[in-house]
Amino acid sequence: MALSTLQGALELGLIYAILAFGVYISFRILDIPDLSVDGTFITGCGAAAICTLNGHPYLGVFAALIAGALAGAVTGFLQTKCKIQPILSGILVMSGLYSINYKIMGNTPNISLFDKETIFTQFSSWNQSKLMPLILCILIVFMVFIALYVFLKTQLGMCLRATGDNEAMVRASSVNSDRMKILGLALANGLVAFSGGILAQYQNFADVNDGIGKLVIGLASIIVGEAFFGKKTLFRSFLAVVSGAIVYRFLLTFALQLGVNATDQRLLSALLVTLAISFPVLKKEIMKRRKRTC
Amino acid sequence: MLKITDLHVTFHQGTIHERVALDGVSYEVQAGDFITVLGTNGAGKSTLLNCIAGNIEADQGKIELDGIDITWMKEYKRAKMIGRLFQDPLKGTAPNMTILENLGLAYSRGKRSTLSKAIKKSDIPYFKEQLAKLNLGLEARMDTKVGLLSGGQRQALTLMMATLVTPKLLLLDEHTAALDPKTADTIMRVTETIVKENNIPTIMITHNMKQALTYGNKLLVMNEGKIVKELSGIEKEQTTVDQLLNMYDLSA
Repeated sequence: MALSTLQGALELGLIYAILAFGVYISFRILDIPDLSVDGTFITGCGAAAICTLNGHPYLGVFAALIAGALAGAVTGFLQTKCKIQPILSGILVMSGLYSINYKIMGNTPNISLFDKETIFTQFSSWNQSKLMPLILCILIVFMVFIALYVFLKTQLGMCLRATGDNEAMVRASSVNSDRMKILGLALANGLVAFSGGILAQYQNFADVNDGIGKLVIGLASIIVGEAFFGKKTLFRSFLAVVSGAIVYRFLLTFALQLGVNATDQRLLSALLVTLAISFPVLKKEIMKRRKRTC
Repeated sequence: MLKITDLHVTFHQGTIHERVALDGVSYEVQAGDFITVLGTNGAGKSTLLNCIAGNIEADQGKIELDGIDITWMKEYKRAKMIGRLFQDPLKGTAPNMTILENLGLAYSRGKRSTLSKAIKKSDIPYFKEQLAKLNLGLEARMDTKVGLLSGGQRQALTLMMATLVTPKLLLLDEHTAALDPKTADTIMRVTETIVKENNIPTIMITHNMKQALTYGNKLLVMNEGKIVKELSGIEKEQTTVDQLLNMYDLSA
């Protein structure tokens, strides 16, 4: 593999690590399978792309964050106030977002940012080094890591974690668990959209149909990472999220280099997640069989 | 203190499954009362507690706590004033968080969740001191995840958490029923100590008649959504388990 390919995989991995952080909040902390991710990622792409197109790349990533958080709050609202099942809430928001994303992008299915000023071109203008995009990605992930870690150690962050762990107990501790869920889903989807916004500027491109499978990418990252770092402490879980996203991206890049078709990528991801989640059951079953034959 | 006036609750109203759970319950809890509640299954004991705690809404009637009308107040808002324990020892604690984190959460009860640090180092000695009272050695395991504790330990911890910020009222819904006799006994003794020390008005549902007679200063028997018998003071002290059983028969 060429060095530039490796660097590209690392950069993409870091950008997707932010997505994985978002999925981590909904899937692991709140224990909610949030399907709106597939829509909010594109909301972020679109919002960032439109702002960038009009010469405001920094405003773009910020707008992505806010738009994603709003969409996430809607998912939370549907779940808590309208009592719609979590999965269905996610599907409804994801589906509805398709139309909204199209509108955000100015009624075009895709936007090219070729030759436009992005956060990457602006950052690279400081220095000619080819490593500048990588450095920017590392900086952003580092900031997200720290900010999120500190947040989860605050009172509010702890209430959020407890809500996913034991909702009845949280209410008995005089915490509004509905509000916590809405807040958590807003934060999760804000990060997902933020990741989308950065990706759009990184690849100079936003496509309204690109959202499918983003949740699976996030899940795969978390699961792959947890194989290395486990989930004993919050810090280890966070390391798992970042490393998982990077390793997963390398695996994909490697598969593509081996000649695997790019359209098969989603099937591979889905299989990986299926295998990883069912692994404990498979292991148990194999042990049982072995015991019987002995 | 706590004043309940003509409380009615009917489940599945207007269907063939319609069932009256509370049929005009009125009662007043005095400051310093420790009330035990007995009654057959379906007598309305748990419904009464759920109404007071706020996870079941009354159809009719009024609940006042310290002069404040809480009949329609949201559950999590009442939780500022009411501590609560359930039969299931898993219900009161967050399993994937440490003992320290659980206590920290309980200690912030009634305060707004802010962006300040969840666990203040200066609070830890107080937590340890409180945990030491349980005599379970939990004070040395502050960083253990609660999910690794036994049911009895978790229920003891829940009790600690429910009273860490002294509530105006403590509701115990068969909180020792899922524990082995020895652990149940320990938890009951700890309960009494904490309740007496902090002078917390308490309502305890139980199916254990001995428990109902041993603890508390008043005893209520419920049947078919009504309070059918109230024993207090000497009358309660002189009642035997056999006599209590007869009361069940009379009311049934």
